[in-house]
Amino acid sequence: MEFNRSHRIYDFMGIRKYWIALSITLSVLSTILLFKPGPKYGIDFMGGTELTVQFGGNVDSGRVRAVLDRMGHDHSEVVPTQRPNEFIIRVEKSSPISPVRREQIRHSLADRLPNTPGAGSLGDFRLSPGGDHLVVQLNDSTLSATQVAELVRGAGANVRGEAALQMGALDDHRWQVPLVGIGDEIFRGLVAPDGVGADGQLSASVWVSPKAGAELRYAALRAVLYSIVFIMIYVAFRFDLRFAPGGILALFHDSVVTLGFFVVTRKEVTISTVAAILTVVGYSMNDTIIVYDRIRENLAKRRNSRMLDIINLSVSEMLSRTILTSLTVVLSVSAFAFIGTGVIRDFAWAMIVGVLAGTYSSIYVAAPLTEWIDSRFFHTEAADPKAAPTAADLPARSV
Amino acid sequence: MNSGWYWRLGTVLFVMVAAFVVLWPSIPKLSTPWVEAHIPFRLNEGLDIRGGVRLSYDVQIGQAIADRRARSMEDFRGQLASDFGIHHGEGRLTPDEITRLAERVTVVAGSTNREFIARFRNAADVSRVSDRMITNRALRRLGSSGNTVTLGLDPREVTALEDSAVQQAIQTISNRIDELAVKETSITARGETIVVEVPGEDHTYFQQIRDIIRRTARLEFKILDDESPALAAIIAGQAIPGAPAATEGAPAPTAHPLPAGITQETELAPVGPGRNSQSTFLVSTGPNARQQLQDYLELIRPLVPEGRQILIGKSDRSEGATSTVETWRTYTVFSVAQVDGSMIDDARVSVDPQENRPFVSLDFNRRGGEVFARVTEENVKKRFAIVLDDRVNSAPQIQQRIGGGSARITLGGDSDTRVVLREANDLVVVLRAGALPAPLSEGKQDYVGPTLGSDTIKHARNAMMVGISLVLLFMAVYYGSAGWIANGAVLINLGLQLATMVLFGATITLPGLAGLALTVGMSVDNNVLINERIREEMRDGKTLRAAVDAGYNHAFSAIFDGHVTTLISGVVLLQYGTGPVKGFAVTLLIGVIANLFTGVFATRVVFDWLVRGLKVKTLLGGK
Repeated sequence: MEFNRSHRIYDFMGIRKYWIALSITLSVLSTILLFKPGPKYGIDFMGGTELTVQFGGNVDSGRVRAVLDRMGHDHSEVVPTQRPNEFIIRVEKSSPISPVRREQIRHSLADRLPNTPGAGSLGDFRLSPGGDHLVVQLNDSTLSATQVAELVRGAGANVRGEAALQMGALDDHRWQVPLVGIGDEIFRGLVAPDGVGADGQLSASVWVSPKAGAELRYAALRAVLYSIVFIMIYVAFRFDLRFAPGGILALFHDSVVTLGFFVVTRKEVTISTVAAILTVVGYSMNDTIIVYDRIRENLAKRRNSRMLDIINLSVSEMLSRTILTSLTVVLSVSAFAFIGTGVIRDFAWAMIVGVLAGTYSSIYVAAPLTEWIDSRFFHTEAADPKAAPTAADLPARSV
Repeated sequence: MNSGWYWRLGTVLFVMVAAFVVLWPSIPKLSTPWVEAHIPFRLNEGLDIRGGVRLSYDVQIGQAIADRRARSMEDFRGQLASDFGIHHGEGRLTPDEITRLAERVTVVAGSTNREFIARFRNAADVSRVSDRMITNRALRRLGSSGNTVTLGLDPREVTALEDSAVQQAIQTISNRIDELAVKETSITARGETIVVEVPGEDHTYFQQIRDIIRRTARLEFKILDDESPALAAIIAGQAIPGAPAATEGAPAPTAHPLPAGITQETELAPVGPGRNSQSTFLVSTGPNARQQLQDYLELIRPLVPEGRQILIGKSDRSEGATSTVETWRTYTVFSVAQVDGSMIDDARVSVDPQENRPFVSLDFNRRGGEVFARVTEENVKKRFAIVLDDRVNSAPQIQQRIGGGSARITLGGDSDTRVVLREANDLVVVLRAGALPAPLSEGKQDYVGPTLGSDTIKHARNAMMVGISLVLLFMAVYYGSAGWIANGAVLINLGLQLATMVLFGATITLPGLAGLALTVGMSVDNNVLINERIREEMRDGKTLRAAVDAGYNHAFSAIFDGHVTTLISGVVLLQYGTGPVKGFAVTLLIGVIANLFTGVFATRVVFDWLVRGLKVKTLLGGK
C-alpha cells in the first residue's frame, strides 16, 4: 500500500493565498475568542464546591455519579473515603453572594453586637471566595460556638448547622460560620426519592480553591515562550535565519487554533488541556522541522530553482509521510475521543485538532513565510512570476 | 554479520530485559511474591485511577499576623532610633543601638496579635509619633495616654495578609513537593485549610511529604548577647536595666527559681576583639529537656529586656565514650534577625571531607551577601546564632569579615550518617522552596479512593488498547513486514517509557494513558520517515541493502533535528514549569530518548539482520 503512488509534484504554493487567508482568519478569530468570551475553565482553574456526604445505606460511587450527571454536574468527581458509604464530591459550581448582601449582613451584625452580652467587638468580617462560609472575628468575645452561629443567623445570614468553627488560637476569637449554598442543593438532590436511594448526612460543604491558579498558566506560558526562543536559535543555527520565523508562527497558529476550538465547542480547559497544548506545540514543531529538512536538502541539490518550486517539490515528496504520520497519531487518540469520557475525551479532541493544525501549518504557514522572507530579504532579483516554470513543468525526480 | 551488529543487538536485548525487570512487579499476571519482594520498583497510579492519602493543614493566620506585627515593631524601632539620632542609614539596628534606644523608648507587644505599644521614658517624646510615620507603615493609632502610644496594624493590611497567607502557603508547599518528586499531587485550599492529596500507598513516602510540609523553615541569623546580665538577674530576682517591667514602676522584681532539671551554667564567651565575658545560660538534660526549658522561658518571657530574646538549641553531651544524652541549652540573642531566609539564593547538601559528615551549605543572594559581610565585619569576635524555626542550630564565633556570601548549617549531632543525610536533604528542599508565611497545624489524615469511576477508567483502558491496535494494524497493512518491525519498535518503546517512568517515580494518570497512546502514534513517525526514505531510494534504483543504508542516513538529519527541538522544549519546561507542567516535561524527555533508541537504533538492528544476514531482497510491501 502506498499514498501518492504516482509521485506527482503538486502545486501546493500556487493556491497558498487562499490558505494563508484562512489561517489568518482562524488565528485572528481564535485570538479574539480567547479574550471574549474566553475559555471555559474547569474546576482545576476555577475551583468549585466540595461536599462530604455520609449515606445511611449502601451506595456505590457509580450511582452517585449518575444522579449528579442527571442534575447537570457532569464534570463532578466522586471520591470514596475510608469509611463505608462516605464520599467526597466535587462539583464546579460555587454559591456566590453579592457584595451588597455581604455588606447588609456585616452592618446588621455590627448593629447587633452592642446588644448581645459577651459578643465583644467586630474585628474581621470576610466572605469566602466561594460564598460557602463567613469568617467573623469577635475581639474579647465570650460567646460559644452555637451562640456565634445564632448571632450570625440573626444578622440575616443563611447559616448551616448549629455551631460555628473556631479557627487558630483561642484568644484570637476567629470563627468560621458555614453558610447554606450549592452543596445543600446538591445534597437534597442526592437523597431525594429519585436520587441514590438512601438517606444521608451532609457533614461538610466548602468551596475548594483551584488546583492550578494563575501561576500555573503563567509558568506554562513563560516556559513555552522561553522554549520558542531557544528553538528559534537552534533552527537559525541548524538551518538558517529564513526558517526560524515560519516555525514559530506555525507554533503560535496551532496552539491558538486549538484553544479557539475549545472556546467554540465550550469544552472545559483543565490541566490536561495544558498538557495537550504542550503536546501540540511539540508535534507542530517536529512536523515543521521535518518539512524544513527536506526543503534544506532540495535547496542544496537544486541551487537554480525558485524557492516556491523547491517547497512544492519538498512537500510533495513528503506527502505520503505527512499523511501517514498524522493519520497514525489521529488513529491513536481517536478511540479516546469516541469511547472516553469527560477529561479524556476533551484531551483527545484537543490532540486531534492540534495535530491536524500542526500538519497543515507546516505546509501553509511555515513554508510560505520562509518563502516570503527568502524573496523579500535574501533574493534581490525577484523572479518574474509569469516567466517562472509552473510546478507541473518542473522535471519529476528520476525514477 | 560483523561484531558491531552483535554489540548493537546485545544493547537492545539488555535494555529490553532491564525494562522488563523494572516493570515485572507491576504486571499482575506475571508477578510472583518472590518478584515483589526482590524488585523495589512499582508503577504509581495517580489520584484519578488509584486514590491516595488526603492530608489537611490549617494555616495559623493569627501567627502570620503576629509575625507581621513583629516586623512592624522592628521597623518602628528603626524609625524612632533615626528620630532620636541613634541610628543612621538604611540597615538594621546594631546591638549597641538597640541598647541605647531602650533607654529612650520600649516597643512591646499589645493585647491582641495586631497591636503594639510604644512606651517612652519621657512623655514629651510621644509627639514624635507623627501621623505620617503611622500611615507610611500601614498602621493606625489605637490610643495614647501619658507616655504610651498604642498602635495597630491597618485592618486592610490584615485582610491582605489573610488573603495572601493561604495562597503563599500553597505556593510554598507545591514548590517543596516539586523539589522532592515528580508525583502528581493536588494542593487546594478550603478557606484557611489546605488539603494535600498524594497518590499511592507508600507510607514512608507519605511520611516524608508530611515532614517536608510541616516545616516552617524560617532561617535567621542573630547576634548573641553574651554580655547581657539579664538571665542571671531574672533568676535571682534583681532589677534588669531595659526590661519592660522595669519601666512602669511596677512591683519589685521577684526571683524565678529554676525548677528541678534545669541548671544554670556559665561559659567564657568572646564578645569582641580581645575581649571575653562570662555568659550565663541554662541547661536541661534528658527526654523532657526541651519542654522543661521552653516552659521556664515562657514564664520569664515578659522580663526579658527590650530587643533581646532567649532561644533554645540542642547541644547533646557525650556520656562516657560512646553514648550521648539529649541536652538542650539557652542562648541570649538580639531579636533583630540580621540575615534571614529571603536573602538565601540557593542551598545544597555537601559533605565535610575531613569528618565525612553531610552539611547544608547556603549561598546568599547579592543583598544577603552584602548584609552578611557588613554584619560579620561589625561583630568580629562575637558569636552569632543560626536560628532555624526559632531553634538555635549552632552558634559559631565570627573570626573575621565573611565576604563571598556563603554559610553552612551542620546537622544532627551524633546520629548516623544516613539519618543526617536525609535531614540535610529535607532541609535543602525546604530552604530552596522558601519559608511558610505562617505555621501550619496538622489536621486529619484520610485515605481516599480514585476520583474517577471504574467505568471511566475501564473505558479509557479500552480506548488505549483500541488506539494502539489501530496504529499497529495500519502499519502492518501499509508497510507489510517492515511495518511489523516498526510495530515491534513501538511496543518496546512503550515498555521503555513505562519502565523509565517507574524508575523516576512518576505517576500514571488517565490523561497520561491517553498521552502514552499518543506516543505510540507519534513514535511510528521515525519509522515512517525511514521507510518512506528507503522506498524513495529504491525508486532511484538502489538495491534494498543500499537503500536501507541510505534511508537511515538521510532520514536521520530530520529525525535528529526534530528530536533536538523537542529536547530543548523539554529541558526548558522542566526548568521553568511547575507542578503538572514539570511532570509533562519529564515524560517528554523520556519519550525523546526512547524514540531515538527504538525507532532508529533498534529497528536498524533488525533491518541489517534482514538485508545482510538473511539477504532479503524485498521489503516494505513488495516492490
